[in-house]
Amino acid sequence: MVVIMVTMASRSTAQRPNGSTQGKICQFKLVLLGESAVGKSSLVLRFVKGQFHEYQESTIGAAFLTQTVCLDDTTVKFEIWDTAGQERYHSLAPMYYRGAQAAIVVYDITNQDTFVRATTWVKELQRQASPNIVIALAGNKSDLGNKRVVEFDEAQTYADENGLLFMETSAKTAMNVNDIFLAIAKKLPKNEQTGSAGTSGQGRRLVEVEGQKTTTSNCCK
Amino acid sequence: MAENVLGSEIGFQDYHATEAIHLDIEELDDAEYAIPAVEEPPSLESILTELDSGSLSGTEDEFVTPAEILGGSETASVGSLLSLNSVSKPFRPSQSQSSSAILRHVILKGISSQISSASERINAGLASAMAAGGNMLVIGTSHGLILGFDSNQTLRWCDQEARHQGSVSALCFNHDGSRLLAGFARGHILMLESSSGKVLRTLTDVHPPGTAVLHVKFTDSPKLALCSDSGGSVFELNFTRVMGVRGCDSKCLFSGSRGEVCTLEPLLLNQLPTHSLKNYTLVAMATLSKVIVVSIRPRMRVVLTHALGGTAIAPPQVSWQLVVIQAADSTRVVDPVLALARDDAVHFYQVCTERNSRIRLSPLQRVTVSYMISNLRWLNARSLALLDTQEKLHLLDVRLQDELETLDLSRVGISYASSHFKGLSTGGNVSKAMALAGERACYNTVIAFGSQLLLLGTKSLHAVCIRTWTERLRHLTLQRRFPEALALGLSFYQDKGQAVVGLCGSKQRRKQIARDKVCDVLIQYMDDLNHCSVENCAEVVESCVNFCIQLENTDLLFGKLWELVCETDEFRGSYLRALEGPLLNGSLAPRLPPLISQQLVTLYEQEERLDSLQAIIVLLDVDCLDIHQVTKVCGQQGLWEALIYLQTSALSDFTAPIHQLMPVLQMALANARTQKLSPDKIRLGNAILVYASCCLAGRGFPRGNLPEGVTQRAKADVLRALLSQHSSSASDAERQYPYIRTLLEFDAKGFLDVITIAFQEPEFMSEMGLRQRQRLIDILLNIVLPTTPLSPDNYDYLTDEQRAVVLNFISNEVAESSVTLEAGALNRMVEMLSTVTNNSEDMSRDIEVEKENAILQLLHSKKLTNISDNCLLNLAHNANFLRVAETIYCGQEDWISVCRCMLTDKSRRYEVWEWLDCLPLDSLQAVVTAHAAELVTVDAARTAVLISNRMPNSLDNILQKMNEDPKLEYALLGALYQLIQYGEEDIKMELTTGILEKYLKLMCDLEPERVVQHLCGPHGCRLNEVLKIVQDINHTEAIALMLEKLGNYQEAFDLLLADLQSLFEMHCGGDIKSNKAIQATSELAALCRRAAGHLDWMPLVETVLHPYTENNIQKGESLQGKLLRIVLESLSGTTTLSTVLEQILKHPLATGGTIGDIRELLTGVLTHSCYDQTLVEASARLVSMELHEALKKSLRDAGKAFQNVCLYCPVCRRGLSQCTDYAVVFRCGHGYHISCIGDSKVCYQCLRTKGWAPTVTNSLPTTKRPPEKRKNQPPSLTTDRDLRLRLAPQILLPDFEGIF
Repeated sequence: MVVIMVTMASRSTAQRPNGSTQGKICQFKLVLLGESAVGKSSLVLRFVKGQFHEYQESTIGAAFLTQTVCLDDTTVKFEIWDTAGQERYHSLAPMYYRGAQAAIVVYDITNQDTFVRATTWVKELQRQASPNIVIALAGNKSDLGNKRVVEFDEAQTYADENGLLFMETSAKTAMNVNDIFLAIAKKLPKNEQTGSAGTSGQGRRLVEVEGQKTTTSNCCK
Repeated sequence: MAENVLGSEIGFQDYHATEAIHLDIEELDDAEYAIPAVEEPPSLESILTELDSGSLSGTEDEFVTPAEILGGSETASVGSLLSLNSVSKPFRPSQSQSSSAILRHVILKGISSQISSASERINAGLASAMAAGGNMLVIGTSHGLILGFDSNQTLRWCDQEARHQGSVSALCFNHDGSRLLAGFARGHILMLESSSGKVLRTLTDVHPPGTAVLHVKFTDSPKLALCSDSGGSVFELNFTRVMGVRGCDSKCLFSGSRGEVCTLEPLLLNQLPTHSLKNYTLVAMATLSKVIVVSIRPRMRVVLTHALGGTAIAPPQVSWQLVVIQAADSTRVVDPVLALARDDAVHFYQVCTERNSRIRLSPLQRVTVSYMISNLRWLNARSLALLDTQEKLHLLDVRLQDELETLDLSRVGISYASSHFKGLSTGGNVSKAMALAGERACYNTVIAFGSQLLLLGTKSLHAVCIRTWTERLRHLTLQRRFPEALALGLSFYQDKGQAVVGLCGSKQRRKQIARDKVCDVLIQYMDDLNHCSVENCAEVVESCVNFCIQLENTDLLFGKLWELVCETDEFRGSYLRALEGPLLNGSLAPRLPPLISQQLVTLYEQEERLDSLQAIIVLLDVDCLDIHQVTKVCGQQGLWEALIYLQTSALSDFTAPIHQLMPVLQMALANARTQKLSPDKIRLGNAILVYASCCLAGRGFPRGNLPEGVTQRAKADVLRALLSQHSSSASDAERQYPYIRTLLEFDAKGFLDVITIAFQEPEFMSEMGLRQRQRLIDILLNIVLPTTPLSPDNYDYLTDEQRAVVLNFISNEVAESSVTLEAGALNRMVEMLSTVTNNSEDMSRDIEVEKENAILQLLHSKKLTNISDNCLLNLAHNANFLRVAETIYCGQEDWISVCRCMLTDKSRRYEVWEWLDCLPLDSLQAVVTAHAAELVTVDAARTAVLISNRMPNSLDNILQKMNEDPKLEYALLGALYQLIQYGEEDIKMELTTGILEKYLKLMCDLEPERVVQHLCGPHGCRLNEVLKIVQDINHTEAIALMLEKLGNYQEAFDLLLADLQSLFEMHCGGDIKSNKAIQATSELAALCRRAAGHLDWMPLVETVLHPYTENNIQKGESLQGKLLRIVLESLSGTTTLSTVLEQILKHPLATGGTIGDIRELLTGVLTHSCYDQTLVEASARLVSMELHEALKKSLRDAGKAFQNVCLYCPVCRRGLSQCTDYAVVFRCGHGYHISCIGDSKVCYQCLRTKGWAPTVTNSLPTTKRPPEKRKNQPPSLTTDRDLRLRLAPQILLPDFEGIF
């Protein structure tokens, strides 16, 4: 069973989703990349808070959000860095994808340039980021299908060639938004986290939690 | 080993790290107390077979409270140990909670019960001595039994052979625990094999009979032992074994007759593999008055004696301890330290081996305690256990001299050896002192064994030890005293802990172990948070955070602790707030997980702790920050510094702050025309200025340095941004260079300072840099020299002040030749600078000075050569720039104008004198003549000095110049007069009579009251002229003075008299006070006196007594009386007394008429008269004496013979004898012919060589005859006391005849 907690990111340890006696908490750093105005912030906002703003202000530098996803007996905690797409912030990106376990490269299906830019991001990630980073390609704004420029197959082919997860999403309709994050969560290695946590520094680590402590198990509110 | 089992049972992995010599400490099984009592007492054998029992009911009732029985239901496990600790607390109600954490007190129940049962069943008596060694523990009883126990508290053997010997008084194991010595109250000593209890030797005659054995001690050598007895003597026991027969020789080491030994302690070194003292056998012995340390082997020698005072009942104490001493050169030496104590003082001595292998004990320190010590034992090298006479145990930290803990041991019922000391079993033949000292002696019942203290009660055995550090921590933890536990743990971690037991390994390793342990405690404490109420949570969270930080455990801080707190708002709040301090003071690295930093920013924004927030943001690494959030918060809250920091350090974009923030400032300034600039915007402006300054100077903002290689770019970027022609969102109305305009408008001075600092950077010194400078200056000039005049309403209007500042800056730069300006621009600039603004009130003086300075700088650096002097002068005159004009005049050598400029400038007119001093003479004359009046106005005295020193001849000219202003003339003349009269320096100048007379004239006109005074001094005028002058102004006093000086006394008198008469009348009219009249009268009287003989003073008297008025008789009369008295008194010396008396009697009215007044007057007159008379006599006598002395001298001289040094006359060069008439010999010895010497009659030779010569006094030739002798006597008048006046009486000239 897969449950997504729509509560704020920080509610985690003491609450067991299904009362399972054993559970792991994995923490992953995930970074969103892509041209400006392709809907990165909207995507994250939809995933984290379930909201959508028609006029999302443009991100300055980078924004930080967290969300916890329950996956079978594992709790996956995403630390999401939503980077700014504007060119002037490009120099910031390495700071965020360095040490990230997962990345979502977003493009706008109504804009061919954003797809081209997405491919360059993928290349940069493959070259510069950690070798076992999980990269997902998200074709956003799929609700604007009538203005589609980038064909699904084209993107799918590209994703397959590069070993990327691929989905077309819509932050507006919430289509595939949770799915793509879940897909990433599933693909992420959960048992050897300790090793990667050690290298990446910022307190990402695996915590064993004894089940018997739980007093209130009121998840899924 | 059993210890390990125990350790693992308790759950401490490091328990075994404690000393291996620990006894197993097992609690009494409380549960087994319930076994009912057996009716028949079992035999000793049966007791021996009961290995594990220790289950005799009721024996320990006095020690075990019901609570203990209830609580301690578990067998020897952690639980029981702790239950003992927790229930034993009621026994020590007086102790503070925090102090009970170090010492652990346990009852060795197994042994205790055996003792009790032995005493009950086999009449063993009470326990009286014990010893521990190897893995054995033996206890002697008061009925001579010795019980041997193994480390499991199991009774192994019982020795009853010496029942007849009374109580066991001393026990001692040898170093490996294989042999045991037992001393008895009746004097026997047994040697036993400790494993079986078999008696090996019985020593019956090693010490005098009838004394109890007090101590038996093995030394390191297996063959050598020591014993002391109640007689106070010490014996050396040498064990022998000849042909399998064991024997013993004894030798008296120390006789009790020389001082009774209470205790002795040999130094045991067999634990150490090697030591320089191994060859020696040292014994410390304490008598009742001193401590003696002797070395027995290899040679007998006394090493130390130390007098030890104290109360008689205080038993002296000695105890050895091996201490690791870290020497200065980081070598580690293990040296024995001896502690000696009596009453309340503890002394420490360290044993040192000197180079010649002599042993020396050097004193270390002295500790005084507040109780009487009855026993002293070392627990470890740093801790000393002191038992006081109240049976309280004190734990003392030796190094810090701190008392760490106190434990009440009164329930032990310590067994004292007083009966042995008193020798009760042997008839009590001991000294009183010994008996008294033994009152509290417990040498053989309180012993240290390893790091624990064993205490033998009469029926029980107790052990006290220092808890290991883990135990101490756990103790506090279980009591839920977490803050204390953590503080203690932290002290272990920081290596500051006291009485630390069980923490060993290298320093690094110790730290690691302690840290892990403390972290465990911390985790427990954190778990406690779940149950913690909201009120004290802040405190708990804060201390958790602090401990995490101090333990340098960020995993715990950001992991578990955060998870615990992040769900509750209050917890989270206090957590985040607690982070602030450590972040700001640097104890926490400036890295937070992004989530936490995000929450921190949110919280601080909500709580509006903006200053802290800004400080934190600026501090934190950029990649921990949610830049989007922080940027927005900073923008909204006006945290400009943080904003600039983010943009520069995160994006390394140096232009963005300027491009983004300048428009904000611009807008604010535009609005500020109507209202004042808000503090927020002022901060913004300042932040921008500081930022620009930092970047241009190549420093980081807000602190630190820019990373390598970025500096150049930062400078270039910021300069470029500042010099942008237009802002990004420019309106059409915007003028060029909006940023510079804005900054100038905001703070022109500050901005120019920034640029000045930047210009000092090497970047602005290179060729490119100079071009940049030029550009910047051109832009600034463009801004301040508008092509079209601007009104104050205009968008980018600069105030005059700002303009002046900028122009000054530019001229500075121009003057330094770092930039050049076109002639036209320069002209305009100068014009601009010298424009007089209409609203002069607004223009402060400073700005003008600044402007003037600017022009001066340009002038001095000769940048204004293409502007004509006249033009500049005009400008300067218009703007009233005197210094500029002065400089120009200087250039033209127009000194007169220069001087005028200087004199006009109020602030600089005093500098004129130095300048004048430097001028050449001819120009000086011209200048001074031209500006004489002004100069005198400024400082007449300085002018006078100048004139007298440099140009005394041109005084007339100068005076002519000032003709129209007599005041100035007078001032100058006065100054000159003062200078010449009273000046200290040599003044060559002299004032002519004409000038002096002019001065007098001026004085008469301007300052008549000074005239008289002046005339009395050296006025230097012709008297007639003076008289004329003063007559011109009709100055009575002065006229009178001059008349008197000219000898015309009568006229002067008349004049003054007339004056007096008028004064008199005026007084009577009530116009003036009597003082003036009195003064005038005194003056008149003085005149009369001076002119004694020339004047008749009667008119004065007449005047005084003349009745003037009718109306105010009384007043007139009183005045008359006073005046008359003055007159009469002063005139009495010059007029005959009779006349005076006649006048007095003639005018009784004037004296008030009463006889009393007359008497007074008469007395005064007579006194005066007497005084005068005495005066005359005295002077007459003096004159006569003088005369007499002179006469005496010349007479004496005349009586002397003279010899001429030369036989010929120096004039005619012929012999003196060949004279025609006669020869003259002067007193100097030169002789002449009377015909040669001529009329002058002086000695030519002396005249030539000395400049003077004696003259011939009497050259008449006489017939030669000896001068008649005359006795010189003082004239009779000198002795004569006759009162007759004898001025210069006729004295007969002595007869000089016959001298030649």
